[in-house]
Amino acid sequence: MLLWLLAMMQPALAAESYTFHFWSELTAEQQAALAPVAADWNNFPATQQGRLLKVAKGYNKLNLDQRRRVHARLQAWARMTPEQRYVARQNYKKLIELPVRKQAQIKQHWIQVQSADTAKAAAAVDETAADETP
Amino acid sequence: MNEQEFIAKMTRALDEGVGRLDVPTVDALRAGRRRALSARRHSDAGSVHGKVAVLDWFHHHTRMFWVVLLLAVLVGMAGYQMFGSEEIEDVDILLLTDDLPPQAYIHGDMGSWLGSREQ
Repeated sequence: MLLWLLAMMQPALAAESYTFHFWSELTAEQQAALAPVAADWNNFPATQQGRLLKVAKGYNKLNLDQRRRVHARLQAWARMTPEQRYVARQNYKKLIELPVRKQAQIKQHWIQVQSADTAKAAAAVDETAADETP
Repeated sequence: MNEQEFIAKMTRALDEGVGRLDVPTVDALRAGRRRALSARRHSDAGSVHGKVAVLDWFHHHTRMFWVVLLLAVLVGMAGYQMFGSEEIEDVDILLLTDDLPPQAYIHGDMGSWLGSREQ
């Protein structure tokens, strides 16, 4: 009976309770931290708003460079699907558990992939431009 | 003389002795016996009562034990949910300030990079 009770209560306990807030209801500090997503804010579900508000809380403890990074990435982060954000978190946690050298290798992989992708994209643009030139 | 015979002789001697006791002595012995029996009765009752009290206490405290255990588990689960949620937000900030952008962590190759052996 005890186990049944626990099973019944688990969903209630697991559900995070966040309240929806309009952008205008946020404090100046919160708005400053979440400025990149101001346009989309009122469309976010309460859960996503709640999590971003907690990010805003951590934002105030960051230095200037870190704040710039957050602002540069916040919009793309907010536009990811919940599943993508979940995968990102899981992979990040796995990465930071690896030895530092392995972490550096993986980051280097990413940079190489990005460079290759950028080069491909640039080449594709050049080809397209060349094709269109009379 | 074996033990049984000795006991039988002692019993006869005592019985004969009882018959020769004077009245005050008999009364004193009777009163003493009564007191001894009374004391034993109370002792037995206390013992039984004590056992019942212990069982009763345990019965009541067992319920309390399960209630406390249930509350502890529920508090633990709630706490886990709370602290689990805190952990999500900490990871979000770390992700957003990391050397790599969040998109890197959902890249198709990231899984294999993470799973590959250190070279």
